[in-house]
Amino acid sequence: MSGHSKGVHGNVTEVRPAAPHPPSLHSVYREHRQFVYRVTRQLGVSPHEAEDVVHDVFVIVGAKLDGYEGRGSLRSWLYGITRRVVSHHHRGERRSQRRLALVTDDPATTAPEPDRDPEDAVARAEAADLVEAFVEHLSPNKREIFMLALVEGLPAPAIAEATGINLNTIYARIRSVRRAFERVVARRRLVKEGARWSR
Amino acid sequence: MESLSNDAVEALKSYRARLDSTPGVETRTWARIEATRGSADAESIVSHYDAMTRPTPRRWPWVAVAAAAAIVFVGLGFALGRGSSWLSETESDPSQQSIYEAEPEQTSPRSVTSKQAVGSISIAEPEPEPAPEPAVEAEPEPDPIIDADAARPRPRRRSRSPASSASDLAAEIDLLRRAKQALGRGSSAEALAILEQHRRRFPRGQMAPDRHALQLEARCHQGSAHRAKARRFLERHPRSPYAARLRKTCDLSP
Repeated sequence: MSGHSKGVHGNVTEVRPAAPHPPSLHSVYREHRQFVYRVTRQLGVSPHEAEDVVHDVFVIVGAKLDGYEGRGSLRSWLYGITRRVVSHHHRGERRSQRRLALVTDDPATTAPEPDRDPEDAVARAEAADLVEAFVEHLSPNKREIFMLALVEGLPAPAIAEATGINLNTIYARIRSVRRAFERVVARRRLVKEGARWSR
Repeated sequence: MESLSNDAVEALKSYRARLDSTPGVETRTWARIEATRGSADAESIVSHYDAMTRPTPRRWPWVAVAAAAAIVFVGLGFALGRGSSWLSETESDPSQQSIYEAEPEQTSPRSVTSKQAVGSISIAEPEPEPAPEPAVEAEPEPDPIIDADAARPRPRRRSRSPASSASDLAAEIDLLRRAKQALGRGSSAEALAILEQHRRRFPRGQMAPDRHALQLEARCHQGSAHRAKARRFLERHPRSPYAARLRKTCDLSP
């Protein structure tokens, strides 16, 4: 896994700013806001709270960007910041949950775009449910690898850099989690085909 | 590293889309970021972050070294004390001295060493630590198979390359698909033959639980008395995707 995975991550680009001209905060936000938001959500933050976490992450990025040397991948750096901010957020979660109980769901933050084809929408919802159920059963270590490698398409060296885990261990975990995921997907395919035959 | 199957890629796309924020959230968050930058709030957020990332002083290694040194010192003192008292005892006791001198080979270097280290043995020779976890994680075990598969001697697992693992999985899926098609046509015998083929080629294959469910389904189709086995399978795999089909085919109440 020497480069970025293609397919699901076709739009992944790594910004490696040269030391003299770091990118502007706006360009980093534009490029990586979804990455930070998704990672925040996958680290267990609710949609309402995720907005606050993303805000804090980019405020910190704005303050640190000038000193960012660009030695590693920008996403690794962003992941490190996001993970710490989420960890800090979780410590005050009880307080936040009390506040959350008073907040009603804001459709603007949670409702996805309406799907034009209802059948397609159902299929996509089922597929997303499958991944969610799969992620729930992973250990925290493998969940992190699944998130960074398969969902976000980070290359193994960037994951090693972001997590501080040995590169060979990262490769082994990626292989293991990919195999397990393919197995779940294959099983679902078989079951769906079986349902079609038995109709 | 081999690429993901199309189904896996599509599932991941759907999952990513579910996690994405909406344009409304993005615009609102950016407006808040711009409003916060340079304010006291931003300073507070950044200083909190800096406090989180500041390395904690490394006190524990020094405490551990000091404690170990103290224990070694006490242990050595104890050993020397015992050694000198033992020497003085042997000097003053001629019988013991003669024994020592008459049979010097009995006091092997090993026994002398253990005597000398008696006071500090727990420090000088700590318990060997358990072997570290291997870096490569074990592949998850397939679900247990209830039928005779479990009782049969299993071949040794060979380490396989990712490519062979992927092609094996494809071959397994192909066999199971053919078995399902045979079942769909009502040909249980053919399905069982294909499943037996799967069992021989992949006794501990990745789709072994699926094979077992299909075997049970085929046998129930044939009217064989496999309801108890099917019930046990359902007890072990209550959330199996085959549960509903199996209940129906084997005439089991939910």
